[in-house]
Amino acid sequence: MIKAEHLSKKFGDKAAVNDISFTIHTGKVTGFLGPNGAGKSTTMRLMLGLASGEGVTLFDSKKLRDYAKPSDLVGVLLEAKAFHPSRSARNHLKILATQGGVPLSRVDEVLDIVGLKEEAKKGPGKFSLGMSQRLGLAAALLAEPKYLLLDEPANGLDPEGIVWLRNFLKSYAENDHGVFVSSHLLSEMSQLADNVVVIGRGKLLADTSMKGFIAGNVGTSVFIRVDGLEKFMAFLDKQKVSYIKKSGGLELDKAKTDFVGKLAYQAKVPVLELSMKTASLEQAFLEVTAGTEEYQGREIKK
Amino acid sequence: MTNELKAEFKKVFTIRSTYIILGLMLILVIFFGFYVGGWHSQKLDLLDPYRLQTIAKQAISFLSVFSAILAVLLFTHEFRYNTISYTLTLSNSRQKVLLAKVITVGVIALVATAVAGSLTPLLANWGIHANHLHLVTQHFYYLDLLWRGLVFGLGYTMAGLVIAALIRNQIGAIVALLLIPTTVEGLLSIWLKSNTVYLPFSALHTMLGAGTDIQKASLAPIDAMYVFLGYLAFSGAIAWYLFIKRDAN
Repeated sequence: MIKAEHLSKKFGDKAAVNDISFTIHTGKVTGFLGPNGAGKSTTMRLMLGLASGEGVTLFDSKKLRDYAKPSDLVGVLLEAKAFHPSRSARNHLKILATQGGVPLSRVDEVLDIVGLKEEAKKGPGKFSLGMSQRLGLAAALLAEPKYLLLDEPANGLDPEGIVWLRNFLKSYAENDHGVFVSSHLLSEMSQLADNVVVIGRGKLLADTSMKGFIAGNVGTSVFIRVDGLEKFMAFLDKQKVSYIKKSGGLELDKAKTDFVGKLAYQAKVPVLELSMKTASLEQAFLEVTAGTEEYQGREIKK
Repeated sequence: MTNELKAEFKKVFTIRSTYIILGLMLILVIFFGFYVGGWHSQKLDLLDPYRLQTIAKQAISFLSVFSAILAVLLFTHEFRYNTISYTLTLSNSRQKVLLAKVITVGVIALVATAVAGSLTPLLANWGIHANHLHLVTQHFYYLDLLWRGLVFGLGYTMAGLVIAALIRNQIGAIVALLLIPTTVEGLLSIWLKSNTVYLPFSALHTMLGAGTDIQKASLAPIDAMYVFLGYLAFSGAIAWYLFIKRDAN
């Protein structure tokens, strides 16, 4: 288990990370979410000792620098383009393997895993963002570490690559590894992560399971469309059931389909459509991070 | 520590710029030794009993700039391409990483100095004979040349590493490395006059005594070495502290 405790970091007067504590469990993928400028990358750098700040991060109860071979414990991908552009992909990984005390035979293995075996001799300077991400992932996987810390690994990957990454990380976590991954692709994250850590303006907003996060922040609702809307509305008013008129039907907040279906039956109106509106990670994320965005765009006036 | 050291050597020898610089150094050694110091020798030079020793010192003085540039590149590439995040997470100590860099560039500097210092007199001698010229009997103070040459080569390269560690920006560090010994110390010499020898690179050149005006200054080579080492130790300690404490980005 990785325990990040009271992480803080200031840039001048501005607190980029403000007393954040959370836990990353083995066997699970933990998503790390936050708006742009929320402090995600800084938090990861603090955890790895790459940025100076306050707080401590314990990897299985010990600081990373207390391990003789940190590469056995954690593999990182903080930036896709972190390589010398003219040094071949294989040589780039060979250097990392050498420093991490990993057998050089592992280099070709990880290149094969991420699908870059054919590009091994090429300088990665001309790699696309997706290929660079794959090389970064190969670097993180070199020592087959217990934990992976990945900052936006899905950026630039094609749809096939994203599916591959999702399946790979899930299976990696299932083998008693811990995966901590930040991403802006919320639909992807909702399929990938078991737990979520959410931050905004450097503060911790949530550290919980994915299901708990969504359920706790966005209520479910039921949409119903009937033949005889006025009659059904009058019936609901009589029953003191609240609703919102929407898209030619009604939306009933925090209700369940069987309950609403029964109401329609009692009101004797034919049901044309009845559906559960499940909350999404995006809704929950926007709900939780509302007002914490560092940068906000505006609409273009027509 | 061994892993860090091996990795640093691999970093040096897996990029094109290293081979370009080493190739350029070799070409310059041949050109400077064979042609400038040998074939093209002036009559007065041929009467100098220390001619070959002076050529060796001049070659060391000139070519050390290249090994210093190699040191700058080795260090600043890490920050320019952000591979420093890997370097520091794969090691459990920043001190080990920095020490590995110091040893790596130190070895390169020593080898480059030894090659430049030994090859140029041989090439010069060959060039002189090839042009049917006659050189007077030469005197070599081998030990003197050895310690002065190695301290110069090593010192200049370490100065490059220190500048790189302080500035971290590649272009900035190379510009500083090229401007401080020439323009900056040159301008300061107008004000400092004979005290110019107490500036770091002027002291280093004084120590080597490769035939510049500075060697006429009243500072013994050993004292000049201490002056330079004083600067190097002070700036090196600051660079070391900053490398340990600064954010790695």
